[in-house]
Amino acid sequence: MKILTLIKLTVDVSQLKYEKDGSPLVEIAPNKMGDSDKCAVEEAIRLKERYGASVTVLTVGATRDHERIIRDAYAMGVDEGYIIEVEEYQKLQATTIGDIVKAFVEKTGPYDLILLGAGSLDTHSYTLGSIISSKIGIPIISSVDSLSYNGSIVKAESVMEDGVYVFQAPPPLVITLTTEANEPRIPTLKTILKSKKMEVKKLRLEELGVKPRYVTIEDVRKYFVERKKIIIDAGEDLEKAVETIYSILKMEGLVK
Amino acid sequence: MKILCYGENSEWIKYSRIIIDKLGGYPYCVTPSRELAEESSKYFEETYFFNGGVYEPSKYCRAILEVAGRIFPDVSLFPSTIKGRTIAGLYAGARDESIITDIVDVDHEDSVLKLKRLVYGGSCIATIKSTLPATLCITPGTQKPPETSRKGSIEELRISLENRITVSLNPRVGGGPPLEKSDLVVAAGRGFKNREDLEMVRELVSLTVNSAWSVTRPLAAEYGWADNWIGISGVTVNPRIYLAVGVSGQPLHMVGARNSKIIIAINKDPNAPISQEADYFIVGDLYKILPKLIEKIKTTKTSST
Ligand SMILES: Cc1cc2nc3c(=O)[nH]c(=O)nc-3n(C[C@H](O)[C@H](O)[C@H](O)COP(=O)(O)OP(=O)(O)OC[C@H]3O[C@@H](n4cnc5c(N)ncnc54)[C@H](O)[C@@H]3O)c2cc1C
Repeated sequence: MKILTLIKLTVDVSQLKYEKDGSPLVEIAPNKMGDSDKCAVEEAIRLKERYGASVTVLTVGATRDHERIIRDAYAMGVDEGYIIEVEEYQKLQATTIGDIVKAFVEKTGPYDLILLGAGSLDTHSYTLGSIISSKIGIPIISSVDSLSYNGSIVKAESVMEDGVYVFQAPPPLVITLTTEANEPRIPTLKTILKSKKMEVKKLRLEELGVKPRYVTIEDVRKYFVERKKIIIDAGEDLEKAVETIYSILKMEGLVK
Repeated sequence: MKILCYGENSEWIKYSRIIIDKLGGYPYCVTPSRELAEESSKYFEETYFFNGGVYEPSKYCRAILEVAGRIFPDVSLFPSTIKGRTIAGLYAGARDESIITDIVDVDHEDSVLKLKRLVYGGSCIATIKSTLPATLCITPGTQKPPETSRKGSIEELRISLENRITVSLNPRVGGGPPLEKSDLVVAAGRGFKNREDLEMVRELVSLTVNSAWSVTRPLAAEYGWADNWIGISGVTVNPRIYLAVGVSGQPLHMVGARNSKIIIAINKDPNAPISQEADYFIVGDLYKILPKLIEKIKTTKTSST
């Protein structure tokens, strides 16, 4: 079995700071492998351990951090890693990433499974998996919270607004995973040391024959609704805290 | 401009009509059932439907692409729900056109779209320009167009919906008024230690008018304690009062609640992020505060009747 895992370098949103005018200081924010992408890597490694799959990991970008996350994936057990070098990787349209993956699969595939995180922390569009599915012509199962494979059929559960969906199909498949899917392993010192010696392969867009299309971003601003921020310490005065909530409910006519 | 909308559910069908009017275009809708087509025909000039059965994205997408192949839309609209996004990705991939998600506002100058979308987990809004044709996933809102007696055309699509993927659905058992229409929404977070403790939330809802409860994503998706959740990957609400109990206030959650008129938060951590997004921030233990609040409502009720 051959598995391709896609990982994205994403801004660690929880550590984002802002300029006075509310524009985010993205350049100085720390970057990391997307949380759900890490779950995709973990799932691939588990399949490798059970079924002897070979696991390839792919990312798009051109920074040292991109090399770092490939090595993070090596330390988890991935066999081979590629970076597709694009300077303005943050502005690539999702459909271009789809073209890149398609060209990469034509060059190095075919793959039985293409695994990726359902949504990234920074743009959380939850669409890349299905774009790839369309472009390559392999069916998709998206936003998977729990995955199992018996050697011939993949069974995947996905929690959605109206209930729990259970999808079943044989590979080849594109599967996107949420952070509920598993608990990614912590690499050992030994695997970290080994990962440092492994080669990270690099390809340029021209080598894949992909013409990039970019998103035109005009402005990014902090999204915030100003609130009154009245603080009441219930530890000090439980009565007052309860009275406050009660009187607001009453004022809005919501107490029966 | 020709606009094609995927009519996932009736709330969205109504809201999408607001977006269409903002863009100014001729509206088409595709729905996965006859029932939704009837609803859609009140707001759309032309509606197509297919008998989709249980949701499976490639099957649904094939039906929508069939209509797109006939009408050549400039803009295609999907709701930014898990299902909507998945179908939209397949659709945009097949048409090789740009796709933008999490859109909270739309505008256009001639044939260039100007879109506002949530980024960085809902912490920021980005303004983006896009050429046509484009696929747009819109964060569902609650506005409704005025009711009309108009009735657009309805046509059934006859296409093969066979599939390699088999799917089954274990539906949730719903209850209470829909979240989107409630005046009070009580949201429970991981501050609740046991499923049974949500009984306090249910009781509070039963003692208040036009109210409903929901949770943060982990309580629904991880623990299975609730039918739905609030936030970027769940439901967006705009009640008069949003009472968040044991909720830390991550942006991914808060984007679903920021349109509320008043936000009250109960949290034992004085530095929880929600302290910055609440009108009233009650610092304390929910296990002490909620029982007192319930008791207060009950006793005041009995003394006044
Ligand atoms: C791609 C992606 C999409 C996501 N989408 C969503 C989404 O749509 N909606 C969503 O909600 N989440 C979403 N999440 C998860 C989100 O990031 C947070 O993890 C989640 O909202 C946190 O839930 P919480 O506030 O219940 O839990 P926590 O962050 O653990 O907070 C619990 C809070 O309870 C307080 N507390 C504990 N005990 C008590 C007590 N006795 N009394 C009072 N307070 C107490 C604590 O101080 C803490 O602040 C998403 C995550 C990802 C990665």
